[in-house]
Amino acid sequence: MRWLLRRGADAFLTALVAVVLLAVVVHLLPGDPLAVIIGDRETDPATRAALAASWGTDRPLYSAVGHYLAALVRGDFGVAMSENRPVATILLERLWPTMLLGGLTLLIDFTCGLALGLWSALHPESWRARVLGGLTVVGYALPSFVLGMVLVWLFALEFRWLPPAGLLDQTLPLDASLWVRMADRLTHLALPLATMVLATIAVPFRQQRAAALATATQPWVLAARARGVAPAAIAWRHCWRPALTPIVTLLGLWLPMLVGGAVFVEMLFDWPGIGSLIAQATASRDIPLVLGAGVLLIVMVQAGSLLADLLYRLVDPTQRDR
Amino acid sequence: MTPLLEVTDLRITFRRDSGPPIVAVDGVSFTVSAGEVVALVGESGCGKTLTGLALPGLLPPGAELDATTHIRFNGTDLAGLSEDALRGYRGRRIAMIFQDPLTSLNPVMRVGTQIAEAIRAHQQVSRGEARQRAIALLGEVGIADPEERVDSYPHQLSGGMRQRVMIAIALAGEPELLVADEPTTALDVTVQAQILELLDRLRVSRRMAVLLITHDLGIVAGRADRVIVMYAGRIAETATTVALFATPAHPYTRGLFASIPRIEGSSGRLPSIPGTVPRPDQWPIGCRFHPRCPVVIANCREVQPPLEAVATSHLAACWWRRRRPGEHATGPGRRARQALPRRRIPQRQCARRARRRGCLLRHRSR
Repeated sequence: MRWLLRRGADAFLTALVAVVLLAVVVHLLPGDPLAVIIGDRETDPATRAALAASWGTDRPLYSAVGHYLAALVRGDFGVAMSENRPVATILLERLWPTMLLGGLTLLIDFTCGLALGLWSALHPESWRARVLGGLTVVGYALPSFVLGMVLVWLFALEFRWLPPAGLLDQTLPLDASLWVRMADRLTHLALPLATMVLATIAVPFRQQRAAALATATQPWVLAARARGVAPAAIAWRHCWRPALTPIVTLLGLWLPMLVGGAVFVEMLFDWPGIGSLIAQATASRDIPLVLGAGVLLIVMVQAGSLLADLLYRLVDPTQRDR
Repeated sequence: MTPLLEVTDLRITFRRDSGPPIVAVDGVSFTVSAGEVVALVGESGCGKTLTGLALPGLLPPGAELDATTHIRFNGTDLAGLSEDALRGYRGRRIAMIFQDPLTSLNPVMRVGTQIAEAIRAHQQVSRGEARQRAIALLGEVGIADPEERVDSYPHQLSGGMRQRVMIAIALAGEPELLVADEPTTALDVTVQAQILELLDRLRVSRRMAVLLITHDLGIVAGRADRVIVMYAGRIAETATTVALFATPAHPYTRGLFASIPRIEGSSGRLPSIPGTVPRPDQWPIGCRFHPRCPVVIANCREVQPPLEAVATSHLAACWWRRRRPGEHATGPGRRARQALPRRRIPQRQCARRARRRGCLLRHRSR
């Protein structure tokens, strides 16, 4: 319990430092933040000054950062300049598509990826394992937008099996049945999800394979065989289970993907998630929006590493006595 | 009476991608009777560990038994059995304990679970009952507070305790043969003695046969009924422990004796056999020991010596004994040569010599 408190305080402090750094960097970005609001319109200096005062862009750096932190403490993320709506509302809107995409990617990566990795480790000589290993590297090496475009070209343009982009079909009648809506969502999800999975599955796959290969030669595996334990139990209890520690590290590092999403994939598939939001907000110098998304990411990174540390203690008994 | 284990012509080869296969164990034959303790002695790399692993079919990938090899256990030839059938023998009939108790236990499993795993591998018992038996076994191998220790993880136990747990695991299947591969090498000297004591006690109470694999002739004394000395994949000498300690016939065995540290009269450097065991792909022609042997004659460089009777149930593979009158030895170590016996030793002296060499003759003859 004391460990958890100390670890939590650590996480909080780290997050605080990260938020301050983020705020400083964003405020130092070149370009006029008011350009989003003013656009091409002619404005006189007085209007400009009034606008700057109301958005707070006329403040010096330390004051701007201080004001932002103070607002954060009150739970106020500010108002997005480009949409004139609260940042919190926009983030919430964008959060669930990203969590859907990122969550499913994580789920597939950490089930199929780990299972395939373990399987390859148990059959290192088989040609199937070699082909699999090669394919995952190809997926990992290709930039995700190239992979995505190839998939779109193949499945959306050539075969016309799947929609090329978007979250759902806007032309769907409002009274469409639940099944039709579900099918629509799933077909829209298929391509971005496939792209994400193909681009990322190599990492858990290779980690698991390497870890399981390393444990397979450990003396305790021989000892377990020598007491007549069945092969399935050997693979599971003596090869897979002790190889979990590096996987937990990986999971902690990847948890932010749940909300961070993949900027390229979301943009390519016009997926209304946090990733594409960050891209748009950065392009339009929407300071409150960029900051809001950044804070969300920082919190998730900290939550991820905190969760990983908790899982370590679950997975590795030697950690518990520390 | 047929022996419990009868190994004939054990030959283990490693296939290689390039070049001819390597023969790591080359025609080893021996028997172990029920309840008997046989020590398999030799330096690292002589093939003794592979021999132990071959019995329950646990050879590493790439290693194969020769077609002429037979491993008869209670009449069944294990060499021809499938992996599934062998699994029924592992732990249940032939159990093993290993050199390093730290890494031979799964670090993320409680020790009780690992003992229970060994029980449940061969018997249909509930988890609760397996746990109760695990606690009883922990008590039997001399672990204090077995009810608490059963839930410990390996890292929470000392090296000696971990080896006790390994022994408890080995006992779980109530085996007839225990293969103990260097069971005390990784332990402190005081703990070594305790573990050997424990093994001795359990062997008697459980009527187990033990194949004790070791590089240390010192721990063989007073424990083993018979000794098999291996060198470079072959048997160099085999005899009852008393006979071997009293009248070692092979120069290699004598070299091993000379390098046992003695408490009394420790002066100067401990003598050692010059050189190391050659790798299996570099075994010399003729007697494999001849490059290190103090008493080499012409035959040693050309023909492999057969394992021949020196006395009743005492075999050795050495040409020196059969040298022609006047034939002189060449080779390293003049002093070692001087230590060679020139005549047969009378029976009376035999026991005295054995005692001096550390053989306590605690064993009753069977």
